[in-house]
Amino acid sequence: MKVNWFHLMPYRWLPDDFRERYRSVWVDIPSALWDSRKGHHLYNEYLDELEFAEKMGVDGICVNEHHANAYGLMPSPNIMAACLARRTSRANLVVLGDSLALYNPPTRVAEEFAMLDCISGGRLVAGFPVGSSMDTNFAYGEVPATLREKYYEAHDLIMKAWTTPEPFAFNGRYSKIRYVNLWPRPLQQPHPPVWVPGGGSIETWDWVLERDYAYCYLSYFGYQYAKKVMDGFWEKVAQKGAEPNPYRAGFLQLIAVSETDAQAEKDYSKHVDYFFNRCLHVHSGFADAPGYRTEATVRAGLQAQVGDAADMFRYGLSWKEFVDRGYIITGSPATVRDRLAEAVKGLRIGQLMVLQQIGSMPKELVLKNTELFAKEVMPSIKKIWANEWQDRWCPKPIPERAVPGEAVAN
Amino acid sequence: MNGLQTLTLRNGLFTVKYYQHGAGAQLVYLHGAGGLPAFTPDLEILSQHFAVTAPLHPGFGSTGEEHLHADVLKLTLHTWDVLDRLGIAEPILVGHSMGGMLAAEMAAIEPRRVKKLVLVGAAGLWLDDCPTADFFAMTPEELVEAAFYDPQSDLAKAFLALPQDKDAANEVMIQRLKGFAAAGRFLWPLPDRGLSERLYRVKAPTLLLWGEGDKLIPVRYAQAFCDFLTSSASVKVELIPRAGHMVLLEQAQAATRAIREFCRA
Repeated sequence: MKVNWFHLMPYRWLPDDFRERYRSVWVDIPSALWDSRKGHHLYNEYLDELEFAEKMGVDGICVNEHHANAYGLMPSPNIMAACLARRTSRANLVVLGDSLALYNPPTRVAEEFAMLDCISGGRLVAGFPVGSSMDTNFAYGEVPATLREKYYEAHDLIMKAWTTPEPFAFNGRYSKIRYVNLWPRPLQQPHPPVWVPGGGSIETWDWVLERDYAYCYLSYFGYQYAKKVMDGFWEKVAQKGAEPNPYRAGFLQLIAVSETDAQAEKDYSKHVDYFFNRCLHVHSGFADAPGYRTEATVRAGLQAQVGDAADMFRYGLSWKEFVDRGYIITGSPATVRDRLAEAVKGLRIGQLMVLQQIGSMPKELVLKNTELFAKEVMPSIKKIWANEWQDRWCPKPIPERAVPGEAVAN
Repeated sequence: MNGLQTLTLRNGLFTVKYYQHGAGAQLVYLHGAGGLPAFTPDLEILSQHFAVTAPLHPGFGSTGEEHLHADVLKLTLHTWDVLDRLGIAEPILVGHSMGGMLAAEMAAIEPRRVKKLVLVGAAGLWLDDCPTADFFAMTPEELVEAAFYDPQSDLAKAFLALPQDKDAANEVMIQRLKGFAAAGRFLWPLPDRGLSERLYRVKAPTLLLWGEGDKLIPVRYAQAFCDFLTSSASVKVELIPRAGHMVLLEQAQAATRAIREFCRA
């Protein structure tokens, strides 16, 4: 098992009556709620937390892209990854990722990922999300019905740019470029490993498997809810005769570790409540623009993660219910170890993404949560699959890497 | 007959469903983003005076919307292709909402073929100081509230009603979603694909027919169309009282009378 430490970077000061006063945390939340001085400290604390996770021995640290969103303060994941590339030396930089259709032209993604890969010495995981409907359709104005087509075309352009060592012309529907010519090229050859995060669109599975990319199911509703989706994915793997290697699948789980089960509730309860009831408070009209999900996915009955249907999963739930339903795996190290092992084996995932800064959780709690997890839980979790399967989806850094600051050190 | 008929275009790339009923001058009705699930009472009235043809746009029961991408020129040419196939040379074009946008595009690209143009609560323009409502981001209840003059009317309630049977209800919702997805190709994120820069080409006498209480595309847009229709033989604005965006259904008698009188003049 590979353990990747995931950050959302939520704004921690949404008012207590946020749900009553505002219809959505995303898309049309007034930016008057944002305080830039707090933001200065927040970004630096959050980056510190990601760096701390590296020190604690996780395999990768993850950033991601959201727009007009108070629970995801990374409109540019590449800027965050660039900060981390120079301040870390070992962990994989998992950028999950750049929403390809939002970059004009998409060669920008090929260039910036190549820069990150070179700066970090080949530690980059290139995440290629389609992006949520809120981000892509509502906040960035992309036509829902053509978003996927634009995404696929952007992918083809990026791959060709990474693997063609000379200029070429690209005549796409969405990008037309006379000279595509990539300077710099990525360090990892032929290109960094590609992970595709998804919210459960079934055609994504075919596409991912045909290209031998890793698939990451990013859900906030835990392993029990994820079972249906991941079972569908593994069924597709079997259908296509692909290797049922757990490392080709990732999954995000909220985790909160404390000394005892009772102490975990004391430590984390209100922050988890903030996450589910303020951070995930999204106007149902924004959840799923018409045309964002394909007819096939709609017919498969896979639901959007926010909006009315998703609200039923969380409004008015108590700590005990969050725990019982598996939205969050929490408690003493022993409790977390057992439940997490059961979860990852049940889902058959090899790329675990852990969310340990949850909602309004302040830095000292994040560090405690992360350290307890890393020392008491992670060692046994990492052993899962390790002897049975090979991770073909991890970065391959060069052994001799530059040390930041060394050139001018006295 | 006023049931749905079918034709195919371009070697099966598009399957087009259409209603055709009545006799008289050729009148083509282009529906809005809500689709046209039936030959509605307003069309029944019109078909007593005109030969009414009402094609369903791709994605609304007709197929092939993926070949239109998000290109309004393709939709415009496609719809002319449909009329060519049906032998409709010089129609009166009546378009509601997104269909109004399409009718205006058709009249701009083939100005000599459109005998008269009727734009009913038409989309296609954008005014910064008077934005059209974002109906894509509305819940069904919010949409009915915005689309109808009287959201409590039986007509408005019928709009929200779903079949009792769960599978049938699901299917209705999926078809609605498909229609909105297709509409998004031309209306997302704003309903402005440059029509204002093409309206000067329209030659046909034009009627701008609006529900006085239109909350989706306010009456201000009727005036905006007037401002851009600089070459039309004549431009007339008519507001129908006690009607919103769904004016043709809400005030079928008054609205169709206005269309008939305009076409007779």
